Amino acid sequence: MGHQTRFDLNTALGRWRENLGRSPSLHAEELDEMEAHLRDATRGLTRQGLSEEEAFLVALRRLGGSAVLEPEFAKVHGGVWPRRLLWMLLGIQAWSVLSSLAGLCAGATEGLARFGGSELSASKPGIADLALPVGFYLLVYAAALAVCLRIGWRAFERKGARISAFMTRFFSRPVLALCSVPALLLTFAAARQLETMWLFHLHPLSTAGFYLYSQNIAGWVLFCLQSLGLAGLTLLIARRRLGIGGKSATPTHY
Amino acid sequence: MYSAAMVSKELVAASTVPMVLSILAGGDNYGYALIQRVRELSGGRIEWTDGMLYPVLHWMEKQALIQSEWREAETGRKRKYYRLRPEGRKNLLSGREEWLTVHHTLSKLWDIKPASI
Repeated sequence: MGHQTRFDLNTALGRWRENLGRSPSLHAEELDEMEAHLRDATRGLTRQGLSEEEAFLVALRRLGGSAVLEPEFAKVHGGVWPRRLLWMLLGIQAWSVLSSLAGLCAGATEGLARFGGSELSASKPGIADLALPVGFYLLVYAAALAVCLRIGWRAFERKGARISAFMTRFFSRPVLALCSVPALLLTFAAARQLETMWLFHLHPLSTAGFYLYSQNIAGWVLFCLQSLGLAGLTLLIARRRLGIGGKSATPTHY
Repeated sequence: MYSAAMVSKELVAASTVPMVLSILAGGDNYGYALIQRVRELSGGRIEWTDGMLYPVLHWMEKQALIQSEWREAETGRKRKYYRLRPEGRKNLLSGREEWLTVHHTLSKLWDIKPASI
């Protein structure tokens, strides 16, 4: 017989985790919980006289494979895509807020630059005068987008369960959830208004605000409808598809 | 080994929530211990596929019947403990009524003296 490698529980558990972790319907926290279960079960079975390797194999068999577990967890989580879509929508909204902030920063820099000396008394600012604020704006804009994507992805991967629990509590109070929509809209609107006042007053070149320029009512209506649509869609997915704040389907197997 | 009949899958499924709630009514507990307890009390005739309990626990948590918390076990590792919430206690009482009604009705039909509560 060739020599056999010694069984190591941690290595075996690591391999098991790696396999099951590929499934998007199983979250890290659930894997933690089942890993604790496998450790307990293995310890219990070794006390009955099995070797650690045998005990681990039996415990694994009793726990069930990914083919059995995945659909049941997916049922509880309401599938992967609604969840992803929810994070994406939240990400878009966070990005919208951050981009407004970025616009504000750019406006402020230009304001400072103006105030600080280089007199732009000419009615038309030249390209050189716009380079700094627009460049700064683009930089912050790109950084904000990158940060939002990174945080959103991390949140989905790692803290999904905890954030879901928080949202469950949040959305289980309809008044709070309902109030959050106008609050969200107001925040966006205020940020955009400030941005418009700061930025477009000085140079009409940047941001998506061409249509928001000064007192463009149609632009405002469009913007509010867009925000309302996004917020509504987020709430709808949260409630209907993920069962956050409402009743969801019972896992049938049990 | 299995001289006595195993409880059918459907009945196991239907009774899981009241069983979990009943055990948790006696104190906070974690998944593996819940499974062990049911196996022990039923004399091995109620067999849960271990992994299937966890989605149910998470579903119950979403329904606000129970709440969970990671705690350090005596082994130094962490375990996820579940605790009964007021909504779960209500659910347990109504579930108990239902199960007892079934139990009493069948007992009368079979002319068995119903077990006292």
